[in-house]
Amino acid sequence: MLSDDLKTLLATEYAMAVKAQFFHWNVEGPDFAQLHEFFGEFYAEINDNAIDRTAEYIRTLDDYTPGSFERFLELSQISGQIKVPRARLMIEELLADNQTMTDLLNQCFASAEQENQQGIANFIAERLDAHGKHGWMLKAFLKDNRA
Amino acid sequence: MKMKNLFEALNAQQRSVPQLPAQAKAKHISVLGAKTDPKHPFAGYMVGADESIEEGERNELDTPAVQAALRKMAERHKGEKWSKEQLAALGKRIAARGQNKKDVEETNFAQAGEVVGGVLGGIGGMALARGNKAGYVAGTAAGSAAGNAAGRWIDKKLEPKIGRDEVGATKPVVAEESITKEDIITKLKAKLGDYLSDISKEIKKDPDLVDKLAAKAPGDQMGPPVKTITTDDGHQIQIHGNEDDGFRISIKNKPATTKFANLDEAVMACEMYCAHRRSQTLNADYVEEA
Repeated sequence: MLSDDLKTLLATEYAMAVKAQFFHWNVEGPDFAQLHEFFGEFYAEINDNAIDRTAEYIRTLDDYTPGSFERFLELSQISGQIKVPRARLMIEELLADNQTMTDLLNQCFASAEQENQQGIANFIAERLDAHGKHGWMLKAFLKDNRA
Repeated sequence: MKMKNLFEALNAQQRSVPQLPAQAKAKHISVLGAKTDPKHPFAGYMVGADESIEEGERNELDTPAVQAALRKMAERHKGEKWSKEQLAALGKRIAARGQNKKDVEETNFAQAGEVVGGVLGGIGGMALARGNKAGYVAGTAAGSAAGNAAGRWIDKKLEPKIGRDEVGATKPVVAEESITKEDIITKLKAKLGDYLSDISKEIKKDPDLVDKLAAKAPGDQMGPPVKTITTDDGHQIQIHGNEDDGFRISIKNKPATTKFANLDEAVMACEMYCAHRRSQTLNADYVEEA
């Protein structure tokens, strides 16, 4: 059901944003400045462009939107991080989570088209583009120094 | 069956003790038709131990002759205190003296008879008072065994005259404190009320008492540190507490919940924590956030 998929999407987006902000606060090392800014832009993009719109699309489907940590923990497909990884491990972890998010967005897109929800499908398509870009940047950070 | 006929039916050996012949049959007594309690047909004859004093024997003690002997005895021994054991021993001595004919003295028969008649309430005593030596022997033999039982009777009869303390003294009945459930509850309430009143008085004296007690609640105040350990990255680990209450650790002023029995264990835990963090720093893929 599309509304259920969107609820899962909402919780997963929330978890990803929190993790990116966690890395933004705790990143250390020689690449601190770049990673600190990168992680900051990462979670800000999700907060500004994904979370609120996903919640409102759930409401347009005449369903209630979850809004608690408990419900997000139940629904999210991305788990939180209680330890502080090294900088490289932060990037690797976000890359893996970004792939999980991409798979979920594809599932939501299929559900939207199945229920003929074109507006929601367009929104999902936009989110797929954004996370494609995030993946690209994260992979670039992991490449060996080619300079 | 009268005493005279009974003795005539016994031979000399049988007369030594008041016993009934084997062929003796009890006289039928119509209880329902009697106006007063009829006398037991076997009254006055020993059956079993000394406690089994027959009702007939008790009635014999209430005869005018016995009462007169008792009054004489009371007057003679006025002010003295006789225990029932002493009375029973007296009866036994008299009975023993009577069985030994050599010790029997004519002059003492009357006096002994009074004592026996009064103390032992025996038939032999009355017989002796009338000068019937054979009757005295038979009666005292029965009375010696009944001396203790007669002493109990004397407790009731002589108690106001001889000595309340020694003879038949009835201890004042002290009602034992019956502990009821209500008494226990009352006592508990009294104790609780006293306790609460003490607390209220203390609060009135010190209005900040409640706050002080709350501040001393475990987990809120650990007191000054007894030992401080600095980690490699500059963080401080403090150990608080004492031997009685146990030791607790605080890291960066955040108390841990674990309690240690002694200071050595707390120090060991701190060292293990520092070593763990040191290993994490060297191989610092993941570092503890907390």
